[in-house]
Amino acid sequence: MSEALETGTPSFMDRFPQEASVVRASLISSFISLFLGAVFGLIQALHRTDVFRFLDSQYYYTVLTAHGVLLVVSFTIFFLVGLFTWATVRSLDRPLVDIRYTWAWYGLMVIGTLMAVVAILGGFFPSTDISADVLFTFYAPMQAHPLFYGGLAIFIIGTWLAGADYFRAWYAWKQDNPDERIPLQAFMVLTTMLMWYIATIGVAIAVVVFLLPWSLGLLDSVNPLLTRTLFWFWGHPVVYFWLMPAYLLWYTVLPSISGGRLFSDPLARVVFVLFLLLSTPVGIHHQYVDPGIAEGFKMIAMTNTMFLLLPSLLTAFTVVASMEHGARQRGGTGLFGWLRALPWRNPAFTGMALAGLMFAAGGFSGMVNAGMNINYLIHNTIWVPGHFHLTVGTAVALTFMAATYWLWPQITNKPIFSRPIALAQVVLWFVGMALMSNAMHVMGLFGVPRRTAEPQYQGFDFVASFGSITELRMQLALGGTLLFISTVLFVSNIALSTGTPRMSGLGKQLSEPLSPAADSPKVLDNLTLWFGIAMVLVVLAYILPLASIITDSGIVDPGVEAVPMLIDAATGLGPIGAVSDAAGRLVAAVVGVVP
Amino acid sequence: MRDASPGGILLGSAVLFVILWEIRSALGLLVGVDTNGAAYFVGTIILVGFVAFGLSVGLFQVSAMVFEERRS
Repeated sequence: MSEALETGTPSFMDRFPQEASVVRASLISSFISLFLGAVFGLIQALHRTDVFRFLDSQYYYTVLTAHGVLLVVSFTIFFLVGLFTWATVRSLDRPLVDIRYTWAWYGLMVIGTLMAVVAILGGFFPSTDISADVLFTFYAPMQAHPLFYGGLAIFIIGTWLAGADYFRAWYAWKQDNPDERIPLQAFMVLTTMLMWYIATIGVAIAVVVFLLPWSLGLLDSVNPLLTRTLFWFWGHPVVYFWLMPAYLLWYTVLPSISGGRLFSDPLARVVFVLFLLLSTPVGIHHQYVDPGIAEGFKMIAMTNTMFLLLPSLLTAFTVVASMEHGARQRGGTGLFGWLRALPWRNPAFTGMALAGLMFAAGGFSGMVNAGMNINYLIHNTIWVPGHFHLTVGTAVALTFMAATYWLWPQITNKPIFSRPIALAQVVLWFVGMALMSNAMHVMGLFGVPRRTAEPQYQGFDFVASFGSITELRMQLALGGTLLFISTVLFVSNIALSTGTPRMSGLGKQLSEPLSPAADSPKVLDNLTLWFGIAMVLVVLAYILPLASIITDSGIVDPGVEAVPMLIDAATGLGPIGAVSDAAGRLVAAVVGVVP
Repeated sequence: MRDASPGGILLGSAVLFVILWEIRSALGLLVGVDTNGAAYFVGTIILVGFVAFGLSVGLFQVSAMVFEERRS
């Protein structure tokens, strides 16, 4: 590793060693989840494309649930609490109020994750009667073991306490700096957590009031439409809970890596305020085909969703403008010639830039999802996973991985093991995801369903308007395999980085914005005001649909029977049978008996 | 004029591959042109490989831009 990486600046670890430990622990938890989730992702991709099936299809939903929960709950949220801890402490330039409290919320998140994962993996062992094959979208009447719901509840309580930790740090800072504007990174963390507090009202009620008591046998039935609506009350804004940390990195880190400065601090604040206001009153756009919700409410949700394009487009403008500024500082010229002056050899930059590029494509497919009429074309098809693999699977995941190459040395005082491998890794992710999500989008247009282990039916063939379904399946499998290899490269690179020699002076400064906070009105920093308006918007968007659902079918729906997601041991394979079956298939595949 | 860096060739090749592959979907979905998948894939790989090889041996060159990062 080049000595030139040393800047002489004290690192985050030098200045805040206790907080750096928490950030490291959070990131390591995140990366363990990433690796496990990727393993399940590869199994799933090869299974549903019929390239290689070494587990019986009855285990597909166990695999799918593990893939979803480990990646979109555990990987993303562990990473973002680590990132937010770093950003809060760094930008306020003071330690957290009580590090024991910080470890407490981290511990709660770990316990919650372990409970949920044990419940999910129990699906591989039918004799245990523990399973949670309910997918990340854990809709009733599918029922999971109480351990799953309890784990989710504890995990979310952990995130609430993490948010309180950031607010405590800000409050302490404010006592010492009463007339100062909130530092930008702290502002982003606080608005994101406010949005999270509002969003989690829905899932907290769904889990604690309905699903957990129902799975414990305390409630005989639940109203699936009500719990489903409460799920999506949270299920869409959680997307922004993943995205806003990526935005934080694009706004505050990417310009510095580019060699320039953020174009506008006020614009960044406006964007985060808009996300706080608009992220939650949109969830019903996931329920366009649900009976029991009036079309008018769906129309309102669609309109609100389209408003969300505004902060994303503002971000595209601001981030690209900041990158251009950096490129011109580095000697770039011309209308597009400045693009070549960007630091493409830096994996942190390249990964984040490619993530932003793919997010643009994800935004376009998201507009199709959000359009009430055109949504019917792709609803519940594999188009939808194609979309969110571009957003959370690339804009978020690739940004987090790329940012790790920049952040890791500062929280460990150890350089990254290999920058060339890191560069190859982010490029491989880009190619793999392009192949996989392209195949998913196209197959979705041809009507191929999502959430299906064996999307082929007797006497029925999907019709491809070009190429063939088989070819698209191969493309999906190839893309998924490349993504898995990329994940292995990433995790290995970070693991090997723990063995690199400790160095001093690995700290990196973040540049000041071209247009500072002082250029904007102070009202932007009035978090109470924005939180209040956000609550009013949520009430306006949800009070009538929820009242209508409850009026029509009650708080609980006595006619609905639970569908426990337990595999029947009599008809299914036991764990020994599953392993021997898998081994047999593996041998058969190796010797070429199975095509 | 100078040769492209290995990192630049890697990244450029990846982006070129993705663009060419997405064009196939666009041709099929929007224009109704059904290209042969295997032939298109092989053709794409050959084209990307040719561009990457050409850049690496200096067949094509990019204009010189010496940046801080390269000086370090």
